[in-house]
Amino acid sequence: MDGSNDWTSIVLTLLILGSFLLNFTDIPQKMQLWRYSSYIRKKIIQLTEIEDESKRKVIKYLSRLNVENPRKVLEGFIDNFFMISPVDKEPTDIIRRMRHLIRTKDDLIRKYVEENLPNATSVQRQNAEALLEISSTLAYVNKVAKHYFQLGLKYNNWVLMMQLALELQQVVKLAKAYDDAMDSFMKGTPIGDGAGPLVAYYLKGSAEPVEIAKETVYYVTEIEGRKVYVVKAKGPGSTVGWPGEAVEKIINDLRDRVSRIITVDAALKLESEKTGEVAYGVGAAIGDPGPEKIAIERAATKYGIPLDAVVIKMSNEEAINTMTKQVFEGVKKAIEIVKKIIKEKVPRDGITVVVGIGNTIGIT
Amino acid sequence: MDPMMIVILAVLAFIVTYMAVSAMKSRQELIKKKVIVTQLKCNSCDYSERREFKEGDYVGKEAGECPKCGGKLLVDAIYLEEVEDIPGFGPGVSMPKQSKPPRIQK
Repeated sequence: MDGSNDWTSIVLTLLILGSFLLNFTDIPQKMQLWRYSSYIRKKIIQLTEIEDESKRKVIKYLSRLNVENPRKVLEGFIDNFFMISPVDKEPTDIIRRMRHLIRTKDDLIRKYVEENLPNATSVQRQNAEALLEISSTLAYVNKVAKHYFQLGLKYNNWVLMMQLALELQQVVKLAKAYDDAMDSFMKGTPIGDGAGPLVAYYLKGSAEPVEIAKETVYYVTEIEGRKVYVVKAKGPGSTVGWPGEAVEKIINDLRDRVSRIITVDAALKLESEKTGEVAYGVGAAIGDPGPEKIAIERAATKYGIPLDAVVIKMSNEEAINTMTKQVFEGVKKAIEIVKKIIKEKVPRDGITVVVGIGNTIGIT
Repeated sequence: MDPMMIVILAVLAFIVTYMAVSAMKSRQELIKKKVIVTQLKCNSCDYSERREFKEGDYVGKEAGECPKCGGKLLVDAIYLEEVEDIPGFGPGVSMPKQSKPPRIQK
């Protein structure tokens, strides 16, 4: 008797039976579902740990500010203060409606924080607002991940599980970055998104600030022999100000005497790009939902003012965490580019408006 | 030796090697230490210094008197820097390079 033939026939039989099982039953789908769901469970545990860690940080910060019941303040914030987007089927005046809703939400949050932190300084309140928003976002991300996970299990949808599993790797990494960013807001260090305001800070020289819009200031200085209005959010608390409204007011005052508007902001880099690379182009370099950006664009268009954009490249994680040395090097390059634009493209008697867009935490 | 056994042993050896290499890579990433640096600059002369960040620092803050000319010392920059480690000696052995900060032309 040939032993190898027995083995060969057994293996062949197993292969054929296995092929029938896999092709004519839903066992492969169940295996995929089980595989992806066990991976997702581990990621959701990580997300929950990140969420809990962020809550601990907020409670620690609020306790330092002598808040009576920090846990209650945090729980009162999470899941609340959502904003429903305005109707876009009828786009007429959508920007006005959006601006109204955004500002109503910001005022509500501000009042909530003021009521619960009556003895804190304005800088501490601004930073507390940012910490509460980050913690709330992390809680929401965790909820959404759990929602899709439970939906996939409920309907045995292995495709949904696979999509969720493939996305969660990135989501957890971003959630970790948001959690790390809380340390920056607690300490008050400048973040990557502060690249624009930092450029404005260096350009303003020794000029004194003048408040022009809510939490937004401008400075009047001279660069390369030309008059320059430098606009940024008012620091060193965490705020982005209302740069659109500020630019609108300045342009309406100065009208056609303005020769150029230059916006400076952080921009997301592509994977192949290096952090700190600087690029310049055309348009309003600002990442708001619409109202501030459109205000700058309308002001420029009304008087035919060229609108330049200078961007400093960085990753999402670098934008929300403490400013890295590479981003700082990018800020220095951006300053030289702005000066070059002013020198080459603005006449001696012309006026330039330079807007440093971004979060001004840690930058006065 | 049975060919099937050779295949199984080869697969096991590959898995163990792969896990060991992955573990080594992640350990190398953990070694990098980061420190937040505060750069101080005098308003009147070219004096500048670097130190570790202290809570309460922010760009533009007055940070005392210049030891060179007695002028105002201001916080000029705050950023995160990676500290290079000497392999095998653990984190924090070397300090960030003391590069001369560039003058920002006004």
